[in-house]
Amino acid sequence: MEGTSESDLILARVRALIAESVRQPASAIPLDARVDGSELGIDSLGLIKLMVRIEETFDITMPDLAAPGAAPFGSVREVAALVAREVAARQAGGAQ
Amino acid sequence: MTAAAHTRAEREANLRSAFDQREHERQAVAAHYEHSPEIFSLVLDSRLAYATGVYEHAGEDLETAQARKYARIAAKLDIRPGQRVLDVGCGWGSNLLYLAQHSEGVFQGITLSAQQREEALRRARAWGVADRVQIDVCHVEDLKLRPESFDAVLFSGSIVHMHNRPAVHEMVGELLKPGGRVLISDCYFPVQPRGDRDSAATEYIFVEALGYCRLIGLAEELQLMERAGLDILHVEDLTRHYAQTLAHWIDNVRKHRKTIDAMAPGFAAVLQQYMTVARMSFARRTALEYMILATKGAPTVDPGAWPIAQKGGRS
Repeated sequence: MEGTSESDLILARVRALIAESVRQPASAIPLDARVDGSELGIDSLGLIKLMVRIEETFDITMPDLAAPGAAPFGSVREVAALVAREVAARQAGGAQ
Repeated sequence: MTAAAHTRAEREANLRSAFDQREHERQAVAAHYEHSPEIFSLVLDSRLAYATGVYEHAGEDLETAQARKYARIAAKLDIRPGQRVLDVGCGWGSNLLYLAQHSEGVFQGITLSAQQREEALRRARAWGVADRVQIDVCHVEDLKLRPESFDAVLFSGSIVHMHNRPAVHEMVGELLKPGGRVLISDCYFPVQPRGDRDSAATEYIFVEALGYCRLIGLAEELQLMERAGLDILHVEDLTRHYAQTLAHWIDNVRKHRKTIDAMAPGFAAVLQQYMTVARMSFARRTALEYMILATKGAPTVDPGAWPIAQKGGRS
């Protein structure tokens, strides 16, 4: 299914970006690990840098980290799903 | 007097001689501002204020908020014809040139960046105020100026880069004529620490992105000013306004990411990263932004007479 392969590609790319940020092979990044949790060991600056890398890579805008109650970083899988939604929104917007 | 160091960078600065720290600031601080003014013109307002604006409404744009801030600084400093004004860390001339255009004062600015000086002078010529504007590349502690030779001194988003605050305030105290004003708009730490001041994020913004920053407590700054013979006239909190200003800058970096990276590879990410750290700090009030007005001797401006909007109905 076309949609599935697109989101799989995004998941793989997001996982690779996270792996780069902690200097680990992608295979060492569990898909259910929280990106902002202790499991991956990404600190607040690491999260900001990761967010900027994701924005650059996918040409999207991630949610505002400074907004009250903002929690854009769930698991690796959830972040990838968020990225996929933003990419889809950009593509839909660009097609208009 | 050496105030307690809050960060690793400050502790390192305390180990340097005054001369070595001055050289360190000259190089480390200038590096950020030596990037092309073209880049900053994509991110900041049209006058290139690298400091907070003042917002009356949540939906206001950057240009409106910065225009309000220029006018506010002009009203607070109240420059009369022929008065002499020193802008320490004048950047690309945002405040200095606004004041030159809106008063008949005589202006001297200093910056550590040759690029900033050149751009500020180019604008001074274009806007017809070059005959009343002098700008030098100079460290604040190297200034050789006559005592009681200035009517106003301005630090907008610049004193944070200066480690030797007692020396800076003593200089201002000597430099001002009786009735002279000093205005500082900058960033402070709350006295009770909120968050980790030795975190990677703090180190990133203060050292990696901006070269050298020293945030002290507001009361420490005010006390140094008072010790230098100045009377505090007015202090206002602009923390929320800086969070809002940074949101506009970050959006502009996003919008122009490719253009910025073509001019300076990797710099768009540096800007977005440090601005995001700063925005979160102001939003969570782990760092605070204040505008301070002080006077030497009897004040020529009266903050007690400034209007404060009344709450609905009551008068």
